[in-house]
Amino acid sequence: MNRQEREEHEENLEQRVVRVVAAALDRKPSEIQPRDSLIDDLGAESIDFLDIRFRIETEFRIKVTDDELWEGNLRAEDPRLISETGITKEGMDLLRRRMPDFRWDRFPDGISKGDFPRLITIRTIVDYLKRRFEKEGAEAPKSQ
Amino acid sequence: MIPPSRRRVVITGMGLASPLGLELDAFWKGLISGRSAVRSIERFEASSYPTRIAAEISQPLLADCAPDLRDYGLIARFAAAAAARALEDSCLLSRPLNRARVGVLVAAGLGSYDHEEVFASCSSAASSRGGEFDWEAFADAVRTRLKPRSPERRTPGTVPSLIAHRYGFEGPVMTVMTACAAGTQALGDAARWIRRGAADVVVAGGSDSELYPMGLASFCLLGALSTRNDDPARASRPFDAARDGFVIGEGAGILILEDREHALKRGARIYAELAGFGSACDAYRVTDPHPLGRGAVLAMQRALADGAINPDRLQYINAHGTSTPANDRIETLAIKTVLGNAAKKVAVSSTKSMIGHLTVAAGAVEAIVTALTLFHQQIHPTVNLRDQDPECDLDYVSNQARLAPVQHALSNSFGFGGQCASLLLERHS
Amino acid sequence: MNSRRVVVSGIGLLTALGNDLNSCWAAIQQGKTGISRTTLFDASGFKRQLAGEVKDFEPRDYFRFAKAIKITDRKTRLAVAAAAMALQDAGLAFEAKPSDQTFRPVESAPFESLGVLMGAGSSDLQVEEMARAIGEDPELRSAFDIPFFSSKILSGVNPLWLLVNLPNMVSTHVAIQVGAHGPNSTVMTDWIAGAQAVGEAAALIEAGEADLMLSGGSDSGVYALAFASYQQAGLFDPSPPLPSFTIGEAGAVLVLEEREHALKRGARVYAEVNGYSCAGSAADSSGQARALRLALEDVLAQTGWHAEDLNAICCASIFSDPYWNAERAAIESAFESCADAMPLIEYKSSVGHTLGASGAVDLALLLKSMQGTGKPSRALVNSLGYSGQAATLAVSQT
Repeated sequence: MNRQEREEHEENLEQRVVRVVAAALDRKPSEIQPRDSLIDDLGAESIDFLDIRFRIETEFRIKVTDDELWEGNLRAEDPRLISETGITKEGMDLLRRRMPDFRWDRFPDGISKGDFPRLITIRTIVDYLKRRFEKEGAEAPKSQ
Repeated sequence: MIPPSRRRVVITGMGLASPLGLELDAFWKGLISGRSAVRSIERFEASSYPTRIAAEISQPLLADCAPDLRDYGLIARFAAAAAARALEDSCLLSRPLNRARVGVLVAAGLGSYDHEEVFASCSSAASSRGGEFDWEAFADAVRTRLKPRSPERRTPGTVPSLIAHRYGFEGPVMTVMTACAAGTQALGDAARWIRRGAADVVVAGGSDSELYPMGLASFCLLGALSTRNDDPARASRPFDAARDGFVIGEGAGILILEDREHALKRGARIYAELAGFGSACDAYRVTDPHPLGRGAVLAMQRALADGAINPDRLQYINAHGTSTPANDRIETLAIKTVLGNAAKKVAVSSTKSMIGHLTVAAGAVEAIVTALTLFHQQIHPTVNLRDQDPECDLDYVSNQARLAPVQHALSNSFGFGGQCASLLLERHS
Repeated sequence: MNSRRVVVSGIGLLTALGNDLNSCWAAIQQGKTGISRTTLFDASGFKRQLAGEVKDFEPRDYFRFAKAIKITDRKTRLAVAAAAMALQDAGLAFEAKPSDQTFRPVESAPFESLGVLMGAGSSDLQVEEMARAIGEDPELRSAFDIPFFSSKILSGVNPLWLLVNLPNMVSTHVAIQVGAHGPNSTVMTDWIAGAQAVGEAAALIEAGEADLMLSGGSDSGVYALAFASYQQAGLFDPSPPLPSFTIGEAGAVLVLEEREHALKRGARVYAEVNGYSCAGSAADSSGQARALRLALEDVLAQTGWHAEDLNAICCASIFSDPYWNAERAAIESAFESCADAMPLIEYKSSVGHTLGASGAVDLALLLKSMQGTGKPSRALVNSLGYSGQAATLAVSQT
């Protein structure tokens, strides 16, 4: 893809993810921002994560395991980023650079293991999908 | 304040069908010795499931569970078998009895249609016409496959009626469904019947078996189950830092609840008194417990208030203790909220650490365990507790049973949707 | 002995005749029927294609937190709708729809002690969803090849499948939507569930365990597996002059309230619940007649009423269906020489047999009819179960 095609493709990916999450959480797509945390901004509960994962799998015809969507990626990237209890200082620095518009003020004491699900935003889902498709050398399957 | 006219409720007989056997004594000894009933699933070919372990009732024992009720499915059979043992244990039927004053209140799981019936029918209906469901094909398939009179025999409402019919009981009959709290709920409701004079005796408890292909699949889909398939006996580990979900069990627990005067008059052996019951709802979320355990707290408080017992007079709590990350943590918090400083002095153990989660039957079987605790003055351990979760910091009687004076005990059960039930039992003297 | 009394201060109702109490009642007065060909699924493969379906039902109008709708089945939605209307009808502070769509836990619930006790029936197992997951399967491998079946189900069915099917969710969804933390349970004693839930809820209030309970029943038997099982049991076989058994769906919720509590807040009271009894029996019809007779006699003993005090008996069975024999025998036994003079009414011919909701539906319509007369009246509501059970409620208006 050239740069323009890539940007269009990414925007389309984001729109589709927003649409899927909006349907699962009973919201209008227009109400959802890319930086919104599924839990803190959009009110997702445990079962919604199961539902969203299933809908992502259906929409993009892939299989997603829980860990992959968040933790697995970071750990695969560099094991020093995650410790037994949460995200290390190096990990936090990296994330802050990567997700500048994320609501870091919500985590004044750092991020523990239990907080991981709160980090999942529309953008992290989109990034995850992009990485998946790049790795598999494919484009995202078209909408049904 | 308990009104002086309120009738008191005692437990005069108990029977069960459990993954640790069908005999009460052997079951209790198994719990005391810390024996796990969790193994690889044998009931059906489960090798392709993410969870392949369960606490099953073994094939030879199944044959002993009301074989004449084969058409009614395992849930009815477990209930009938447990009821027969409980009635025998109570000696209730060995003397003249007014059967219009005996009720039956048994919580029963949804159970299953036979696998072939529903799924072959679904396959017939999955049409190639644009993926549209072919209702006519489905109707055809279901009509030809459904075993005669099978469906209505498998609804929960049949179970108490079956038991009533078997023994000619003509008192009230009811079945309740509060998911994993149902077994405890049934006992509380039965106690209410006796207290208000709707019955003198109630055959009460719960029965369930969700160990069939779609049942196991539905729990796997929710991510609720432990996947420690390579080490079944250690998979259920309530309050442990490495717990990863519950293990499905199956079976039934039936208790004979009786008006105390009625029991004393006939010289019945009394295991314990059902002194209080509390029910509440988180009214929060569908599966996530309330972060402060609101429903659990209210249920326990109501049970204690119902029995007019202060929290500091409790010695034991039979926990819901499922071995899920969420429940064990929230239940611990709730216990601390209700008991305050007294929480440090109370022993808490989880029967599920050995027999898994009997879902609708759990509360009833665990009430039997709690009654036996009071009767024997002995507390069974929570097994598999090697590395206690720092957030779970109570005395869970880890790995070793103990003798202990127990005068009052609670038994907790919490269900999906936040339905919470708690039973208060008191030692009979 | 016990000085606490129980009244009905609110009613919410959805049936084949209408989506609120007044509409249903107006239709009854006009002699309308709600029975029609099924639209919820295609029943042409069965002996009966008629049912009492609730029409034009939009769950969004009643759910405070609409996100929950995706994991509710039809009967749960009817229950939530009926509960919302019942609370409004009772004048209890509750907004049917908030303007703010954000889902939050209900921290400041107005109803800490409000309980929920509902009767409900079984689920439809979402067969369409399962069929979609299994897909085309000409050799029917899914029926005997468990690994094949499980791989399809585990990857193809929405993981929330079980939560939609669990009937206890009827009571819990109601509690979540309105914020009720009181005693909470679901009764599933097949066709007497609704009556039983109301009776047990009233008993809870009388015993001092609650001042306010939402109680009633909701059920929807309009799905393929239900039709299959009733057809299998022979209930769809026409045998003139008996009319065929017609399944319906409904949500019926009543606000039960301790009488002083209601009077103190100036609530409008429909009626008082004076008595309730339930009995089990053998599964054959003579056993059921005896069960109903025991329930009737017990209720008359509880209330102290005699046959001549009664203005109506709302019957469980349509006057000429298979269960009528048992009911008639029971009424004759209980009332003896007065039996023939008993004014009998029924509503199932208008709304269908609403299964687990039926006792509550009958009660709701009966109370509305009593309100209409404006005269003191006493009535009984009978409920008969599939497995021989019976229940009776006694109500009065002064």
